[in-house]
Amino acid sequence: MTGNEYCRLYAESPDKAYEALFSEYCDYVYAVVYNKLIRTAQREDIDECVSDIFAEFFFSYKRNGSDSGELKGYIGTIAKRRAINAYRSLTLHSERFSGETDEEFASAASDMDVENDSDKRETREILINKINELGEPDSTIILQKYYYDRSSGEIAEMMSMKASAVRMRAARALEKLKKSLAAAGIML
Amino acid sequence: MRKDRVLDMLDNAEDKIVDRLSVPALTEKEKERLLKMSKDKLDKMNDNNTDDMTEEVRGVEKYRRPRWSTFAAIAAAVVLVGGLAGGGVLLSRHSSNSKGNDESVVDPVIATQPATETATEAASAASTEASTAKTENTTVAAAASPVESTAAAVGSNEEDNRDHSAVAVDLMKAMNAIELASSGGLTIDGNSPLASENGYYKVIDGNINGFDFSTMANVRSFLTDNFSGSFYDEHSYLTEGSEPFFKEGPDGLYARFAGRGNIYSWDKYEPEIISDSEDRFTARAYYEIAGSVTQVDMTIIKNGGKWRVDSAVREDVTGSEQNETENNNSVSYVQLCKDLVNNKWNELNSTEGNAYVDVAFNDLDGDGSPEFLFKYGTGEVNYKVDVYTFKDGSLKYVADIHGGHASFGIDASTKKLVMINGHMGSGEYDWYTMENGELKMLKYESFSYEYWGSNEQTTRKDILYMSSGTMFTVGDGNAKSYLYTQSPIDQQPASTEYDYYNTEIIDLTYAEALKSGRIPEGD
Repeated sequence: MTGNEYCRLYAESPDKAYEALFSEYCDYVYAVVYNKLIRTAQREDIDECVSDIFAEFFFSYKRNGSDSGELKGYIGTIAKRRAINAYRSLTLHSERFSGETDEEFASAASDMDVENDSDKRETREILINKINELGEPDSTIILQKYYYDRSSGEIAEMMSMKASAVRMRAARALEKLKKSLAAAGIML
Repeated sequence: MRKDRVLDMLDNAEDKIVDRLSVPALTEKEKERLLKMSKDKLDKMNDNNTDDMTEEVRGVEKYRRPRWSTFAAIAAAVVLVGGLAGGGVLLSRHSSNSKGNDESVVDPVIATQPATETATEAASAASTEASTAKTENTTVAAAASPVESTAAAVGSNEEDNRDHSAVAVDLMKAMNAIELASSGGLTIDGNSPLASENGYYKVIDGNINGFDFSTMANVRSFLTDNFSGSFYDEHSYLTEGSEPFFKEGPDGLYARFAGRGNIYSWDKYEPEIISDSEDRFTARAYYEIAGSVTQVDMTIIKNGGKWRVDSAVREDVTGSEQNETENNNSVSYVQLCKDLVNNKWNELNSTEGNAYVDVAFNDLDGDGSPEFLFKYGTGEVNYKVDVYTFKDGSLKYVADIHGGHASFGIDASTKKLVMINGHMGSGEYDWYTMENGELKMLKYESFSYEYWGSNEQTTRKDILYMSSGTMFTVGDGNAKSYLYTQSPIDQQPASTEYDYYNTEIIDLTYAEALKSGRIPEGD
């Protein structure tokens, strides 16, 4: 969605513009927030953060009608900033996460500094490439199942498939991915 | 958090990786809930600002603050305020956008006269306040308290001897106010950012439910007056750290758009005092956001004669309030089933090895409480299905059914159990029911097939696979069992599953599982 498209929708109906924006970028914004917060936050914190991001966009975006660029960059910036702020706010108070140890916090904090962690960066790059090589729908299913931690039933609903088929594909795809990664020297 | 996020090494990834993680991760219902949450939040912020402000005027615009139906106009309006304050440049641009919301935004021209007066007063007040903020430090505590609160009547040196419930109510109001303030409830000027730092905007109205958050001194006094201990720490991000929520600017207080989600969003102030002593008590209260009910236990302590919230423990209790008895029964029902499965699994493995279990629920007698169907064995030939019913808080064995080369099915019309037997090209459907506590086979039907395929479909469209799931070994070497049940809608098998042993879902009560659709209802 471009800025101009958003403005046109807004002029027609602000509600419509908001819902179209949400529909277009919900998955992306959720991915950004989940990626940053999943190790420290509760699901409700992630949901709150996502809903805040769309509200902030609505508040801050200047609808001047001359923005032909995609809004993804703009909302992505808000999402990253808010996710990091939420992370900092949440990790300030370890009592909220009594299930985690100080070491885990330290580990999570150091993970934020990706520039100093080239090994992990390289591993992630290989991993995501191998996942993509699985092809669709397996690459999506494997992320939904083993990264987003969704059940086969939920994935089935999202992918319009049968849960049993999801289960079968996920298991097979995971095995395939493990072999593929093992060949690259990475163990899952 | 679940332990089987195999791909957790993708956490905290670079932007280009996150781009590729952007896959559908939420169901439509979850997305709808998120959207509603966002709208509800803005409605709430809006309502909060609406109180006593029906005639409020900023710049030259007068706003009737509506519910969500015109939420977008509200957001636009806040920006518009800034535009006007900055010289009216944005007036024409935004007013054209606002024309579609005639009910919510009064024509700027019509509102001009009364607006000017009020705006002048407001500007004057703001100016006076900014210039005297430092000298008012000693008195801001009163300013940060709700005007009509009984708490405000208690001087800082006086012993607060009010009833604990009254104390809790006032502190809950304070909790709610600061949450609203930090989740977008303040009126800020979107076009007046803090020059020295991105992300901060000038606070043009710091009043939240009678609490005044218009100066940094007021905010600090509010925090120290109402909170202590870990609860104070939880809110210290508002004023402390490298990127606090509030920041002093050259001409007054600046704030971020929102700090965190609106957590303590009470619908009513009805605390229950669950423990009590002279200088410490615990108050329990509930709030609901987007259908989720959260129980909060607030520890409130008296220090220096004044009560403060010292800690608050939150727990999601969604669905557990309405039918406690049912849930207690459900918990024990699920637990009994789980114990049965665990015991049989261990028994078979220790004596024969190669244990297999499979479970399903089906309301065979139509009494609203599904029977538990437990299939187990060590090989296709000896698999059997034990049928149990839940009565008087315990599992009662009803009967067993042959389970070799058989799967659980359901009749799409009656929603009752059909055992689907098939082996070497021939099969049989067996329809079951329960009457007067006894299991009965209603009828059977033979069929033949050439290839059973992937086990996805039966030869009759009105017979659906009801459940599947077995104990199997996953990547980390741990045995897990999944129970899943299938929606009894022809060709719409939206089944779900839950990990029977290792995840949080195991704690779902039966009622919650039913509610969430994890177990199909009998109708």
